[in-house]
Amino acid sequence: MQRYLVRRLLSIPPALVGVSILVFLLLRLIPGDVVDQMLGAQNTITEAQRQSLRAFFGLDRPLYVQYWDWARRVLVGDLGASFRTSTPVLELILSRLPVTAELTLLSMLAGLAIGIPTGVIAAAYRATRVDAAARVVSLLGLSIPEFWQGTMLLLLTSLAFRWVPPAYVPPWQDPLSNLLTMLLPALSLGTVLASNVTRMTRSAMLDVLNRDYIRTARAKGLAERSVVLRHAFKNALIPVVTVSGLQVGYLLGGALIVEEVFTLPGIGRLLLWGIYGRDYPVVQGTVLFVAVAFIFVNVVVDLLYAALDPRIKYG
Amino acid sequence: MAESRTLPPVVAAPAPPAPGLRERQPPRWPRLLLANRLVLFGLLLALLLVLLALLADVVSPHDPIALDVRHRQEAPSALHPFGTDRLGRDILSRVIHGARNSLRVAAVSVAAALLLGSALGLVSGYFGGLVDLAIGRVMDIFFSFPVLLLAIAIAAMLGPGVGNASLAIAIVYTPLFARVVRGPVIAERHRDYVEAARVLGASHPRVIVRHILPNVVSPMIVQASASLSHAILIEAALSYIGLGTQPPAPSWGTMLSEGRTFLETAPWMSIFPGAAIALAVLAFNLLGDGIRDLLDPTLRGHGLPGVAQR
Repeated sequence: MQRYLVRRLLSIPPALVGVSILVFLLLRLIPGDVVDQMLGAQNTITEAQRQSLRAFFGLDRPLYVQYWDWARRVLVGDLGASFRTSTPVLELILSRLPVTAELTLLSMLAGLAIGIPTGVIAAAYRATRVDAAARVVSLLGLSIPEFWQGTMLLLLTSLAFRWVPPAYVPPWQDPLSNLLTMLLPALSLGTVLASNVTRMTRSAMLDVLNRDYIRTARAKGLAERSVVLRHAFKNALIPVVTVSGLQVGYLLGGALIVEEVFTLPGIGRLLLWGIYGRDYPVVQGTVLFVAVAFIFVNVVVDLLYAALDPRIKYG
Repeated sequence: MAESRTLPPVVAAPAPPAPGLRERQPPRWPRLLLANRLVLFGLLLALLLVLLALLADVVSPHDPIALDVRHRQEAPSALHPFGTDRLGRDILSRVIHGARNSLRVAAVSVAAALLLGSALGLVSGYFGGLVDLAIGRVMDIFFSFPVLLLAIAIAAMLGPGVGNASLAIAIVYTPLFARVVRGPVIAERHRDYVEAARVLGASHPRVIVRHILPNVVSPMIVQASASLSHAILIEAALSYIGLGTQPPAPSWGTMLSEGRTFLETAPWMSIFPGAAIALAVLAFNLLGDGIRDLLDPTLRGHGLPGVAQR
């Protein structure tokens, strides 16, 4: 376990370097360059002025010099400043981080809280109507885009209950109001996760329920309830943790869009704000930040998995 | 024995008979289809969507982009079964033409990712060594991003538009194909028939294309069918935030974002395009499941999502 821990931690720096190179190169995908994009189509400046602007931004230097320069500043937390408001990008991101983090976490909780019991029940009542219903509903859940589901939830609550979620307030100001705001967004994202978790839990449970030790447990006269919950469920949980971990990437990506649906002031809306305003430092900084967060979350999930399953030695 | 169950089966299905020696057997797919009504449903739904997309001009009751200011935001009626949008355009016609748009983007981007990714996977797995290491490292970088984030970032940099959105989706899915193809290629590379072909003087490209490729086609097809539904979802998401298909072209994602402002006054603007996305994704999810069951019997009945997780 310790060796695995060290190895897994050592894999972080190369991943960070790789991700930073790709994020840096993203800016080179812009047709023309940043200067052209900032000036827009109807610019009237001379070629000489354009060149001096490019020099000002350092665009006339070799690519690797530009990267090194940028990466050095990123390492000390300097992601540049917004073109539009001159606010440091890191400050913008950190001020919006709580929203995205809360949304992701709540969605994960909602997904597990719905998905695991459903999967266990579907497996326990295998090949019955309950099982069939769980399978069909989870298939539907996988097919419905989270942003449409969010819209439909909004429509439903406003038609049926005459209720719209309150505007966002941070949890430390008004926890109840904050939870009410987060309820529908977390459900929109959580149900997609729940669908995956249901499918995974069901198939893991079915695998386990076929094992010899389950037959033994039944043979010695244990109640079915005890067999399913105490003997089978614990062992089925491991693959479920892995799948849930794999879904963090989906949740982070989906959160970006769901924030837009519910106008939550999170990192996703910051990213879109940057995209619409061609505010490249904001776009670059946000993408880098989320990708780096994703790397660290993945490491945590892997370690959790290894800790949960003592059989896995990861020599 | 007991502890191997949660891991992929250690004892694989019996090795397939050498190519060319296989006896003719009755195809399995008709029986599978009948046995699994969900897959059959998915197949029919997918066929219906493809037909609608191909015949969009014929079957649409109205012009999808023709404005009709006298009939703005009308509720569904006999004349406009799905209602009209804020410019009086017929939503049913736009949904039908949206199918064409969605399926085209999905097909083009998945085909591109399939070609490029499989080529990388073939080269990577066949040559191994430094080539494999280099390709693998670059692919790893792509895997370090949430899929949707990377697609948004690439599409944002390239600029809004349906072509750039397709390119972004293709780039995002290329590493997946490379990874899925690489493993089976490594398994095939040391088989006797590959050695034999080399000894007989076949060049590397010839061995790869003529001998190895036919034996690693099934993971490619399974991955492609799983990716189609995700590509439809990503195109819709990109269009929803304004980076994909541009108005006035009909696209489900764009229609959804247009309908958002009028959710309470004209909910049909949001209901129908979203339902269309869900149905299309469902169809290709079911189809993907069916194809995987058909080509990869070891996974049959697990009900696991395809290799590409959402």
